[in-house]
Amino acid sequence: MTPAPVLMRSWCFSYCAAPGAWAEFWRPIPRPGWHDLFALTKSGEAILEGDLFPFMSHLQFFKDVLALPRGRVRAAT
Amino acid sequence: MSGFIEPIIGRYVHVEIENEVNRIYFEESGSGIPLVCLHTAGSDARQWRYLLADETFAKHFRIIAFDMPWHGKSNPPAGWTGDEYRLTTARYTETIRAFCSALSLDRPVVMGCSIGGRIVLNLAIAHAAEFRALIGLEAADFQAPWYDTSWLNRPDVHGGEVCAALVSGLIAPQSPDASRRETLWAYKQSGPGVFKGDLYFYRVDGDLRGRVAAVDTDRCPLFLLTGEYDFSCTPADTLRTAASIKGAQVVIMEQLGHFPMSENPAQFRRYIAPVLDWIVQTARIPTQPSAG
Repeated sequence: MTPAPVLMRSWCFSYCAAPGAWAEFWRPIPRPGWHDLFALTKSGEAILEGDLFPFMSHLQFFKDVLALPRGRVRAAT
Repeated sequence: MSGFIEPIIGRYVHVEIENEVNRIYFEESGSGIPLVCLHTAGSDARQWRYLLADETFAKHFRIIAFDMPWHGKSNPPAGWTGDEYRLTTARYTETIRAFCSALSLDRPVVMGCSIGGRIVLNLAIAHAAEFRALIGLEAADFQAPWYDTSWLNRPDVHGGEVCAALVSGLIAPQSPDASRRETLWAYKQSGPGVFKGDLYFYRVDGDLRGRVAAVDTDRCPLFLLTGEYDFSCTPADTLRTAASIKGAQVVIMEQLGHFPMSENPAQFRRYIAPVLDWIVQTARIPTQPSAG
């Protein structure tokens, strides 16, 4: 994990959400609508863009990796 | 317990759909009021195994769940030439009615989930007199799409893996790991392009906005139950749909997502038991002559 911003970083695809959205996503039991990467993109709380092939062809992997902090970070206040 | 045999019996029935005989696999248990259960898109009737094995429900209902053609153990019909599978409102409606007719079911209850919930609304609009009650799980007249279905069937992405991974987020976080995995397993086993073909009905051909107000719940009671974690067919989608149907009964189910009967059967039972009990109690009331 590298804190943003990083100048002129190349990227293939990105999944971006505000810190508050990640805090909700990483609650031990996330609330409805905050519990899945696509729940967040559907509601506009996150943005998925770029070349989605690597993401979609390994979708469960990326879902599992990004959910790893669940219950291990301080809950949103 | 090794050696335990479940009370569920599976058989095949030949059903004519769109002028062709389809060999349809169905499972059943119990006796009484026929209760026909419809699986979600890209899955099969295994989703209903907990309901089928419920001894209390089986005392009052002949519980039946069938695999749609192209799904589970119901093969595509013999005349299929390998062209792209696409489910339409007309074909889906005919399939259900023809299946019920083939088994000579007397005014069955139909309970469907997701695409099954959507088609239940169409049955309520167009064929209410044929059914004793209709139950839509995760049902709405329309819901906003949240992904591009072209990812579901392409040569460079594993269809089973991507279908399962997409719908995995529709399962509530409280659902047990074993039933979560079992729910997703059916998606991993689905035939190529079948989930996408089912969603043609869901996304393109089956938009019921503006039509559900015609539902007459005096003729056929309608129950709509939606899980709070379903962000595909959201509680708001179901409530909006119900608001335009006079007499529709709505329940938002806590700690459940898009697959209530398979992702957390015990939690789902808390919500479906009162509905089924109401249907049983209503069936005991002698039919009154119509006032005209």
